[in-house]
Amino acid sequence: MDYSTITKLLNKYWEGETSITEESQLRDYFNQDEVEASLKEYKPLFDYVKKEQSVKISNDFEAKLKAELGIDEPNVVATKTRRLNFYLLRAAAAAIFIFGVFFLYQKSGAIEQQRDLVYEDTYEDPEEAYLKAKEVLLLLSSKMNKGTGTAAASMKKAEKATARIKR
Amino acid sequence: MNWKEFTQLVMPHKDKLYRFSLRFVGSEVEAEDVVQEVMIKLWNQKDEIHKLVSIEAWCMRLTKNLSIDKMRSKHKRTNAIPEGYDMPAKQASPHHLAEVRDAVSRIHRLIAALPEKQKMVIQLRDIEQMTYDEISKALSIPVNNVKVTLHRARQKVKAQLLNVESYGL
Repeated sequence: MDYSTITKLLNKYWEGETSITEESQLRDYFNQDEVEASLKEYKPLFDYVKKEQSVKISNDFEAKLKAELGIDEPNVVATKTRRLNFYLLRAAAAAIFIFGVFFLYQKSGAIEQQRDLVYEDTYEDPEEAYLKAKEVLLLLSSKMNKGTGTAAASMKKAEKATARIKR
Repeated sequence: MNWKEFTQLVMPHKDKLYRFSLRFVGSEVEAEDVVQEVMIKLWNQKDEIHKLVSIEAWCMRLTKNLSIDKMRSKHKRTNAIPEGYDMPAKQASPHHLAEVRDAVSRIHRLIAALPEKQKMVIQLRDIEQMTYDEISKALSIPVNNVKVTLHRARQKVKAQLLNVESYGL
């Protein structure tokens, strides 16, 4: 910043007419190691301001205040969080147990119903049931024999093809 | 309001309050006691905090009153400089160090010798960079009064500075 600008700002400063920004510019200028010889007499004032601004309360002020007030806030919060989690876990476990019991009950009902269907008698007369069963088994047997015949024919064709390849 | 919320709200002002109190009481221990007292009072009214227009202004007013009470009750001079108070941050040659320390101490004494209101206004404006409006609220004085007081304070400082430079006083 040039000399005339600083002089103008300084005059405004003494009159109490500078803005916060202008005062900051003045501080920046005078906090340099070297300033214009004619402005040197004002430098200590700005050095003093800078020094004052760096003054801070002791680092353990907050801890001391907390002790004075008898506050143990972080532990209180932590305990609350732990309690909340514990309650949530208990609620979740209870819900899982109830649903589990419910589904097991449902499942056992369905199994019972299936069992009833499997063992339900369809014929009252055992003789008639025997004849019907025999008929069904014979039909099954004839179908199986038919399938075996087709398979044997296919095998013969395969054997012929193998023989031709060998020749 | 819990402790965490409270500290987030008021702790940013602790250094400003401390410096302001230090200006009056001149003792680091006493200034810290004042700030602690201010914080305790505020904590005791924590449920009313939201009703305050400006926490900073409220704290500043209380700091000022408590500091002045402390100062007056002990009949203490406010221009006492605590040990190591004006030590420069940067290392320099011993001669330069002594010179700067001397100059800074001189300004400290010069400002400390100002009338109470001028001292407060110049502190809040030049050190804390508060606006006229903020100073007005913190000190409970009209904005125009702040401007006039600041003008007078700076004129006095300027005269003293030039006086010192010319006559080495």
